Amino acid sequence: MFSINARGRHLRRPAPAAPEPAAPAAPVPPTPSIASEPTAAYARAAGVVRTTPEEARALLLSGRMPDELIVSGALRLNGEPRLRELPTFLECTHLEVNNCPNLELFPERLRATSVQATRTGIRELTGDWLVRETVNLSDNPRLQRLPERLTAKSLSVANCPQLLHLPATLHLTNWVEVAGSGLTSLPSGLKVNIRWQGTAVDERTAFRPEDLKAVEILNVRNVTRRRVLLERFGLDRFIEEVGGLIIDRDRDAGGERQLLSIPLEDDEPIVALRVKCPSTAHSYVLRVPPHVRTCRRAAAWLAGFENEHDYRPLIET
Amino acid sequence: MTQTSSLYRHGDVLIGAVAVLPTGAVPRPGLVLAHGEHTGHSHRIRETNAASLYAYGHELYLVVSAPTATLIHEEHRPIELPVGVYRVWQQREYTPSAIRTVVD
Repeated sequence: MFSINARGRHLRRPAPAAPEPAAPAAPVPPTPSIASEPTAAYARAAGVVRTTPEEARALLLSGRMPDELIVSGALRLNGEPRLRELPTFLECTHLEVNNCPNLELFPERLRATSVQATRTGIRELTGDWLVRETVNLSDNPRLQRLPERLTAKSLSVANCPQLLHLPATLHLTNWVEVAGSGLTSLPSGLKVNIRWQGTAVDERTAFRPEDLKAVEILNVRNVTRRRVLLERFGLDRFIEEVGGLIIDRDRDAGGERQLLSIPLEDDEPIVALRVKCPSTAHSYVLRVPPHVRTCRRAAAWLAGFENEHDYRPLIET
Repeated sequence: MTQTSSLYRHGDVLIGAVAVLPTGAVPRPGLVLAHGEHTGHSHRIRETNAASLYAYGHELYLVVSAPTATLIHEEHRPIELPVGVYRVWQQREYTPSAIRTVVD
């Protein structure tokens, strides 16, 4: 029924026992509101601590962890390596815990206006989160699981490669950002806008870019959207399908290399160096700035040199 | 960036000889110069006692203390690096929104 994490806190608590039919109905505390003013019932509950943001910050950083914490404002703890956990129940306005690499334990019941939790130590989130605005969990490479019940306007799980699924009960009303996540689809019931690096995309672009066609990308009028589609599609495959004008060619340790240019309507041209790896003979296509006009200059730029005369490798493998 | 002395390219990793290790460079454990993002392969020195790595801010330095040290990778032919101090960095790639480090 429940599991215990490495630090001894229940990740999932046991389900409450069903009430005895003959017993008088126990008073049920009201569900805490999302507002910053907690309800009187919660203020009286055992173990609950009501504080200002300043007191809450000092309390959490001291390591004295209340089970339930109600903060009368925003709780900002960005960049705190001392922070390892948050209370089991937390209510505040804005929760900000970006860049807390040792923070692994998050609330199981969270009521907040917004959550900013990028680059933390989280692996699993569980429980019931009710957030008015955005939940930002991007850049968490170990994150594998979201709370069973998560309601928010928007969610970012960008650059969370181990997050393979979203919970079926996830409720969002605005958008979900998925670039660099491990997601390959959305739950069937979730009808929400999908974003890739901040740009609205369809499910095919986000999750099945192999189904795109190069000519479709060329016909996309919006430059930002076209760039996202091109990135999802892959420059190698794009050049394979549309070709490109060879504006220079020469030889390096891998054999012939070519500098290709593809003009784009309303945008700078794609200029890319096609090279072969001298060890594997695999071909690579690497994009360089559009002002580059020779293979030598392109190879030097890719290696970090602005001047091609500074780039003379003794050995390339 | 100016590079006038010995320079080697091992896939997307570049190794350029420099005169001295910067003052304040901090020893870094291991001998892995760069990890592959998707393959799990790495560019690394084969001989454990032949070289050391140092970090100087975001820069990486390699000190080869033996007569030679061998730079290896599962997909690239090895390179014998002579004794000396080297700066290590990775290729970059252009996109309209940002210049990125190339990762294999």
